Amino acid sequence: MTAALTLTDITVTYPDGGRTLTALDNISLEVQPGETIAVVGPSGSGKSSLLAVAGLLLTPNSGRIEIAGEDVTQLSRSAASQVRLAQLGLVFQQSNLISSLTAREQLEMAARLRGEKGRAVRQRADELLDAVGLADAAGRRPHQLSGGQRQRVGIARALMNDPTLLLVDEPTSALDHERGQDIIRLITRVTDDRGIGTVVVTHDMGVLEHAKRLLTLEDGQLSHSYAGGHGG
Amino acid sequence: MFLALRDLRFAKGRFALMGAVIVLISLLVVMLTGLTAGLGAQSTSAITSLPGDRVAMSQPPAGQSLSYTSSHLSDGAVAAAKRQHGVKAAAELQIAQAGVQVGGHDVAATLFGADPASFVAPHGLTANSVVISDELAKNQHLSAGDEVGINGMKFTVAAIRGDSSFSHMPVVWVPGADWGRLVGNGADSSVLVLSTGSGFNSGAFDHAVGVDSMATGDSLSAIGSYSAEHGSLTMMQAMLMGISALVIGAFFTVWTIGRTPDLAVLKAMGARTWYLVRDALGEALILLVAGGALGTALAATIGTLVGDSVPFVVDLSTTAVPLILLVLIGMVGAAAAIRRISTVDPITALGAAR
Repeated sequence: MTAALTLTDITVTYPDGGRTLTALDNISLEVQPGETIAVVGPSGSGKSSLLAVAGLLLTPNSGRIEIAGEDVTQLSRSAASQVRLAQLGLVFQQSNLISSLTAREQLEMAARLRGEKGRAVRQRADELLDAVGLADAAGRRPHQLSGGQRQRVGIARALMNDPTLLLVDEPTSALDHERGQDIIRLITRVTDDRGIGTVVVTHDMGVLEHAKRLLTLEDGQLSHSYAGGHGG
Repeated sequence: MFLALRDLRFAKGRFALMGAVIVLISLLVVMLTGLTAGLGAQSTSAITSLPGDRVAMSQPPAGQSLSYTSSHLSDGAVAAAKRQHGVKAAAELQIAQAGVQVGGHDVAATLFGADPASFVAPHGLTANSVVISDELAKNQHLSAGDEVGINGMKFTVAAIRGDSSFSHMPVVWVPGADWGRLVGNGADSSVLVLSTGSGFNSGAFDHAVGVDSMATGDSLSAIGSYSAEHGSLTMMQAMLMGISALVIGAFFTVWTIGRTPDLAVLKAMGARTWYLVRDALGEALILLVAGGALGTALAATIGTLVGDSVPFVVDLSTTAVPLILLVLIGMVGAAAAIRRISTVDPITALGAAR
């Protein structure tokens, strides 16, 4: 089976005053379809850099990135955008929904970026909202939704273009424990159902019981890795 | 324009405020354009409606510019002009300002003197008669057959022809034969009106006749205060256009900065910069066209209502043209502001980078 994501010997450094800061130090990682991987670690450990590299938002200093078996390490900005549209779904911290769009329109927007529109797109958006338990909220704007509902819309939006890889950034940071667990359960469910590879970057240790694997990042190094409680 | 239309609907207050500013700017620009055209017509319509295609004036003294009111043709200039190659017709036009007595009071007017037999004289001009403009006839309730006085001489209104004015005064055409008795020596001026055809050589003509000739349209700057007046009003229009570009640019700069987190998310999702720029330009275009059209319609309505008492021209050149210019210049301002979309880094959509 082709891995959804393969990172090989990834190193990312930043200039930091007079010295160089190593955000990711020779990291390698493989995410299989249907697998949820949680990456935990303290602030500044390199979690967001890992997500940015996997999301083609940041070009590493060295190493190789493959998405669905295709080398995408050195793509132009435009080609990287195309890969994000076609292969990646991003779920942001606090959902980052567009304030002028309703829940349904958030999903339609994702399809429109690929040039798709019309009744079929609206129908797919409604199906996805239904799948995340928000069929009744399709016409609501972000300020009319709760934090948990906004995060669900963000997940549905990320699934709109049938991604190979789902990258999730701190999905529970703005939610209480119970709602956070709901969101994590939803992410692992759609990962299983749709055969997507999912990487969840989080501070929340509650993710552990749902993720198939847990990776710990510290000072840019994958210092620990073990099987979690979900699936197997 | 999926996002643009929804932004406009969602942020109604902000866009309504900006739209109101565009309405006011377009109202001012179109009012000023109509007024410029109206005032210009009051200064020049008697010249622009002359038959023929060129005007010649005596060469001004060193350091002075050509002027209708200080041009004096030499004796024999008309005859010399008629002999030149390419000249189909040439006639002298005499110009003076005078009071016209109508019903016991004086009305300021510009007298145009011409030989009734020449091509430049209006139809109906005969000895002891005058041809007056529509404006004078309307304002003084004159009609053909009525009597007016000029410097103590009585003339019958032979005809009413056109809405012609010169230097903001209505024009009264008088026969050239009466000119000497009407106007004191040195109180008048004279120019040549020419109808030219193929083979006309401006340089050779000017040299042979001792004049400066030019196309009729180019001669308007030689009318009294027309250049200064037209220049001032045109400068005000240009400044208003510049202000509109700055205001639109400032609005869209603030708007784009406010949207930066949304733009970063869309870029992270895979949106290309051009898609986002096109959407934002669409937003600006809708705002400019809607606000500009409303302001233009208001200005045209006001212009039509006050057209009898204020010199104001309402036509395509004073409404559609400034509207199109306003939209184009506004789009330049918006484009300069929206350009910053290209600098939004999608990585800022991630939590740690915010």
